Amino acid sequence: MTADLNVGAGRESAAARTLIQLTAVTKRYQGAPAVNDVNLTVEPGDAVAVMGPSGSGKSTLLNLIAGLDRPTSGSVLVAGERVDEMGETGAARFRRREIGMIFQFFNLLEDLTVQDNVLLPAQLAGVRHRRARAQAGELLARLGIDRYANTYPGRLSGGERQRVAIARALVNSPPLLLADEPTGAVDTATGEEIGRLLLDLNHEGQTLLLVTHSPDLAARYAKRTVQLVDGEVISDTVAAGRPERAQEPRP
Amino acid sequence: MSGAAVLKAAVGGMTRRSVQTGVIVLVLAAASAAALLGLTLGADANAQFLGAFASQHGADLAVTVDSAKVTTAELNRTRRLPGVTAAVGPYPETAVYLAGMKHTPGSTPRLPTHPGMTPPPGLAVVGRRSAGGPLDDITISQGHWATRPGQIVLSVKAQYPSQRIGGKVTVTSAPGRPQLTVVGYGSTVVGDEQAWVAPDEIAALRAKGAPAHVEMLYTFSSASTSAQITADLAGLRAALPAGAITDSISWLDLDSMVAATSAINTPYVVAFAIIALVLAVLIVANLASAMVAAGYRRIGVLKSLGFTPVQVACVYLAQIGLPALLGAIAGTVLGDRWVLPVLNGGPFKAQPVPLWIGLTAPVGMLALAASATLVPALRAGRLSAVQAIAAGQAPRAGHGYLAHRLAVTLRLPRPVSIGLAAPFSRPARSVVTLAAITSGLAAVVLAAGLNTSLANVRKDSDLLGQAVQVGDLPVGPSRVGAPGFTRPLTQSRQRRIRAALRSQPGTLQYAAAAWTDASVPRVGSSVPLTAYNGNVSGLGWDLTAGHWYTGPGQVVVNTAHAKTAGHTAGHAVVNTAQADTARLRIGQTIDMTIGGKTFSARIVGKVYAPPASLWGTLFTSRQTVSGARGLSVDFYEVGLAPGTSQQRYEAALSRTLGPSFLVTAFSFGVNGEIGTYAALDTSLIRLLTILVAVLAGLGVLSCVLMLARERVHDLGIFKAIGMTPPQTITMVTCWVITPGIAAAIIALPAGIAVHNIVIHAINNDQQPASLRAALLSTLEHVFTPGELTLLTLAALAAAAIGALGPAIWAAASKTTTALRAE
Repeated sequence: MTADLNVGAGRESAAARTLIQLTAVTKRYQGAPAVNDVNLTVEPGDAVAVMGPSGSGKSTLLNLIAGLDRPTSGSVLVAGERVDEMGETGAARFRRREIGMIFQFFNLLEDLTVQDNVLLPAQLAGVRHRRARAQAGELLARLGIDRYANTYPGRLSGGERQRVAIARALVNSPPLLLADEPTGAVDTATGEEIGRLLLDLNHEGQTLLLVTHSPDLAARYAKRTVQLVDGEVISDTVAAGRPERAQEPRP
Repeated sequence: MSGAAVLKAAVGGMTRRSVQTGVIVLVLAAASAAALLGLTLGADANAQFLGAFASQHGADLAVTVDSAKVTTAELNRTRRLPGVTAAVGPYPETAVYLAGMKHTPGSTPRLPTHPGMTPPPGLAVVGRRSAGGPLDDITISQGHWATRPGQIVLSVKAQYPSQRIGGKVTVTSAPGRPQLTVVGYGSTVVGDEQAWVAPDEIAALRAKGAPAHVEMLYTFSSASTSAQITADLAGLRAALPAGAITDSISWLDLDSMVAATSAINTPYVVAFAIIALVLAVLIVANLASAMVAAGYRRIGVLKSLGFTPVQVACVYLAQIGLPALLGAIAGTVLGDRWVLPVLNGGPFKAQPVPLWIGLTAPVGMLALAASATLVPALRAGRLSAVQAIAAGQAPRAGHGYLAHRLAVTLRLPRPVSIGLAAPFSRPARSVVTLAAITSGLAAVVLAAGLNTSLANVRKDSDLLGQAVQVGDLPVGPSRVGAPGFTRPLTQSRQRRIRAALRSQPGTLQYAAAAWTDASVPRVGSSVPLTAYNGNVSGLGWDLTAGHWYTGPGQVVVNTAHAKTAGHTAGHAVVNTAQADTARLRIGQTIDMTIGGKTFSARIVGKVYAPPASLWGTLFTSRQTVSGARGLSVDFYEVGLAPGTSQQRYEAALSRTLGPSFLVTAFSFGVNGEIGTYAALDTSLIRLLTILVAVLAGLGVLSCVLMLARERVHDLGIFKAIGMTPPQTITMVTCWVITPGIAAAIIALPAGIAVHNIVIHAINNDQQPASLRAALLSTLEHVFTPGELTLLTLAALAAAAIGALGPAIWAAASKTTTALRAE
């Protein structure tokens, strides 16, 4: 896969379909690396769960893909663009366009209504107000929370808040949805509900990269599971009869 | 758990919050300096002068003597006169023009007859072997004393363009135009010296045909009142040949000038000091409450480690208290060493503030800081450990929903609308921001208003009392009097003067004047009195109360020494039994004995014209003292028509009358003798404005910084969902726009109101009527709408700049770190 990379910045050719391509990515803060020499590819439409114990580097990997952090070495190619070479402004614009993010603790803005929370990424991207409202309304209805449009997040349940977060993540129709422990802060039933919702989105073609420490969640809602330990990929498994992918040889 | 642990935790907190710690140091430093200024002025405005007078061994009286008329033996005899406790001199003295000085072309430089004549008739240069005493020590602030010919030391207050040490000045009035090297700058407590050279140099600097003068300095056993000084001077005159003393200046003259300056400075310094104190308290309270709000997790950790509620409160008190202590000490030293000398304005060495003020200012500021910290610190102490650790940060206040809804409808770029609504989410913090911007803008409005007002006063010459005096050149017996006219005018010379005045364009009114001494019970035995022929209301004297005499039997009093009674300067002993002119009331009848004959007159008005020994104490019609022995015509006093240039008039009249007449221009009030003493010196206003503006800037900075820290998690969310750094900077900067607009609405009228209060406070009955009228006239025309708009925009811009630092910090902060700040 490394050979396919267009190492310079910019989009890959239209023929290249790979959505995420990490090549020999290492992220070191102090001491031992948080992510060590990781190679990973994700195709459009995939639902990949990244698993591992606390401190294994799952969230760091997610942040590197989202452009929230920069690798110490290696390259991060997402939707054909070198995220690791982007500046802060470029990375922010890239996230608006290509990535939706959902978090364990929802990260909603408490002083904005549900609708304003969902609208925000579209407004930051400069989408016309009418179009943005239409998109937000459609998403809220699809996720079953349209009746809360003018409600503040503080009045919603955990599951409802996570639905708002998902709606916000999808408002700019990004090709990639990154989810960091999306069921970690809700009860089991709500977790099931959120999991099913993500699965439905994936069935509709949404690429999904899910970080979780729950094997159950990974097994039920991801087609593929990548296991991280101490920052290294120790396994990459395709679930439900799909052939297991071997970890690509390290250079 | 020991105190050391509390201290260690406090120091840890200070290190972690280094920006806040730095802000506290700066805020307390600025506020302590302001408090020191306010207290010093409020306690005793003249203490600086009196302190300098004592430490520089100031002389009670400095006299200029015509050396052609005295011998050294005669001068030495004056050292042993009754009442003389010390005498130094004779110091050779002369007047010069230096290249670059303004003067009438072709004229000969003259020694100023009083300090601060504008422009000076010449630069007074004194020859002294050393800067040391025993009287009138010269304090060298730069360079060294002039020890060799060709060197000159300039007074720090010399009315001459500043020269670098080692630079050359050319004496254009001396034969051969000699050049002198500036080797130092010095200050004297005697007001009329502007430069010093080696004694042997004076002869070479004297203009061709100019008389040779020497200066003698004296102290007396009794020199606390103008009457005593007048008596002392009379004793010297009697001991020397007639006409030997050509000029004199007493410590009371200088003291009253400084008092007049302080009467102008005190109101606005106090106003600025109050604004600074309010700002300091607000900022410290804000920082303390923000530190607690942002440190919930830390409080929880401290408590889980075993810190008691009192110890936790002590940690936060120490966290604010230690930098506050450092700032208060720094501010006190700063105020003492740097700000007070600017305030001083006079030509003398700055004095350290009294110990009680030096202690009260920092201790008071520390007490204010502690009281502002107490509530947040106690809140920290009461917080439950579990709650604190669980919350991690201050709970959301639950405010600002409506503001956000309304902001959305503005259809502005989203970062702008979010930024505009954000202050409503943290109303307490926003109120402090609002107060900081309001105080800063009000201070700027006040400063701009004062600058405009005082500039208007300076340039509005029609409102100032200006006059010209004409008489014979001082060659005869010396008399106490304004330009030192020394002999009565003959009838023929009076005719020449009157003819010249009638033909001179710009003459509004003139009157013949006679000087004499009167004995007035409870005022003095030798009180200078001027008797005019006819009506003198147009001569330009500034009345502080009442009216000019309208007929015989009326008198006007000069109250210039109103504040001096009771001060002890140097070794002077105050005779409180001696009545001062300030105690004389309008409507009161006084007896004036001249040459054994007593005249009664009712006091109908008061003027304020320091020094009284120069301008006189009593003014009346010649008819009031008709029949007094020895009353002659000594000079003519001329009032100028509005719009007439005083300098041009003086020059033209001098040309008309010729060199045997002395024509002297002078101003009553602000542009006259008071002016040089920084009465209207706007540098102090600028300094105070900078001080308050820095405080306001720190207030905005601290508020926005605290808000940014409290909202760091939200900032992480914004960035995670695609807010770019420029958008983040825009949003954070907009946090101050709403408080800024509100502040402008409050601060503009508040600043104008404070300006008006200060002007009214300056406008007390110590000031000349012309200054009072000019000040009051400025109240109506201080600001144009354009200037107010400009000030508002400037305040918004300044607030935005104050917010820019935290905004950039917010934009540069790591999103992943911010998101973890749960």
